[in-house]
Amino acid sequence: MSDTSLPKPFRDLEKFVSEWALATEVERSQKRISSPMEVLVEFYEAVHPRFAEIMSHLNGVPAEGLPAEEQRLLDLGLTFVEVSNAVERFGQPDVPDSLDASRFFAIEGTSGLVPNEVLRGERT
Amino acid sequence: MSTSSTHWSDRFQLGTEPIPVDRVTQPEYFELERERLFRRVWLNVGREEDIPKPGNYFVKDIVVLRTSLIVVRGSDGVVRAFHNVCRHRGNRVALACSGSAKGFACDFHGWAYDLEGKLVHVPDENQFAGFRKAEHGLVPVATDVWKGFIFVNVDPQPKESLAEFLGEMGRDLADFPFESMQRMVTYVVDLKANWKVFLDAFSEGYHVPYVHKSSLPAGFRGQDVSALMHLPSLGLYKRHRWFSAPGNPALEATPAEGEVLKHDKRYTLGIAVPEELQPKGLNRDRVAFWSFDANILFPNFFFGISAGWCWTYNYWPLAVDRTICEARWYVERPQTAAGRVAREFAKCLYRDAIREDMARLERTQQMLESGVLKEMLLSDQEVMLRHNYRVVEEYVRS
Repeated sequence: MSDTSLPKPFRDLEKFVSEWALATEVERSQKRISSPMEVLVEFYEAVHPRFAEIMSHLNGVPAEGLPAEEQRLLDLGLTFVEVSNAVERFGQPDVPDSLDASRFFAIEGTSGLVPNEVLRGERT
Repeated sequence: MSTSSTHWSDRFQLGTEPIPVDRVTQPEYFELERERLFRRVWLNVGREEDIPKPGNYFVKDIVVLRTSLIVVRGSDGVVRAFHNVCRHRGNRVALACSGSAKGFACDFHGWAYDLEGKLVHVPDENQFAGFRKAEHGLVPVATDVWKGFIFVNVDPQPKESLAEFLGEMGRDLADFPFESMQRMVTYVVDLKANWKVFLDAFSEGYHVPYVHKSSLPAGFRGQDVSALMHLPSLGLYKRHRWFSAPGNPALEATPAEGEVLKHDKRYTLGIAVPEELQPKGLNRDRVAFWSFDANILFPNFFFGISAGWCWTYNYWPLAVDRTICEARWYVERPQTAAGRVAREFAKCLYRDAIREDMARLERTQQMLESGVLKEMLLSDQEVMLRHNYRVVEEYVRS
């Protein structure tokens, strides 16, 4: 088992793992925004025909504490839904006419505590 | 003859007059808001799960109150808040953003306080003439908890309890299971816009077909998607307010969205939520095509609730023309990894959509500050804004 291996039915998608199976929203949205559209479309078109199957497979595993292969498949699925809006809705990597993504300070996970330098407007 | 609609403004007797622009641009008005409004009301500063165990604390700097608060769960399990200021010569006591502690020690001269704010140690105490330690605990701030949300009121003698302040809004949402929701992400945005300009953008649906033409081209519309989004139902209380937003019963899903909805019908935006999936206590007037309820807890706390997800905004003014918004996204805890993907889809779409909302606010503030306009015009669909400006004015003139 390599560090890019996926569950057996999804072996054909393993070539996308190192670049696209990203663990955090910040990484996934950054990847989306910084990739050229043709790169996003290539990833989208490879995964889209398999998305129903991915959802069905992931429906059989718990949301947390997944085996490594399933975790990679989940991360790939999370990047796919991130990228899907660029391809299906916007026709470009980022949201047209929107507040610059760099101005969104994201704190992922269940902790909602915001650093005080941010609350004071002193974040540089 | 005009056939203009004054349905909501008539019903709530709010008039149809324009709003003076100086309410969002004048520094003097902002100072009155600071003293007469923000210093006198209950403000949400966090949730109980931020400090689950005795000794857990967080520090919240609140610029509009010109203070920093320590919010801590005591040894007795009670959540309390204190001004983060040493009673000796005023140094900031807790320096970290959060943590777990047995007490708090000032790093200037070593004064130490316990979790209940009591002064427990003063080095060289007998050098202070006539000193009574018991009188110099951390300055407490009125604190209470509603549905897991921690509120504070820095008025040394609050005129009303949190329950009284929440009033009908608290009762409306008494059954909503916030405790079963899990926070997925907090976004913080620092915008050069007045806090009311910020809140206004999330208090009407008039903007939806324009601002969200890319992200939600047919979302948040009722049966007639060609129509502008009209609010099907809303309520204005003494200070708080809510509206129900319409949902599209025939939303044409994008391919990825379609797969998500096959898994769980709740995890997108703008769709009409099937009645059997609508949460208890929401959709107060049982509108036919419902997508979410927006609840605005005066002055600066917004929570939108749909089925399976909800989100909150805390708007913290830094100055008349600058506001920090904490936007938090909550979901019903997923059972499977597929459920996790579905929630991610809805979250990403929400985030993309609010980036559209937020793009307009600095431009608006900047142009309002040009002084060209003396007044802003509000339609009947913007009655929520009219209500807010009136309640703020009542506090400012009080």
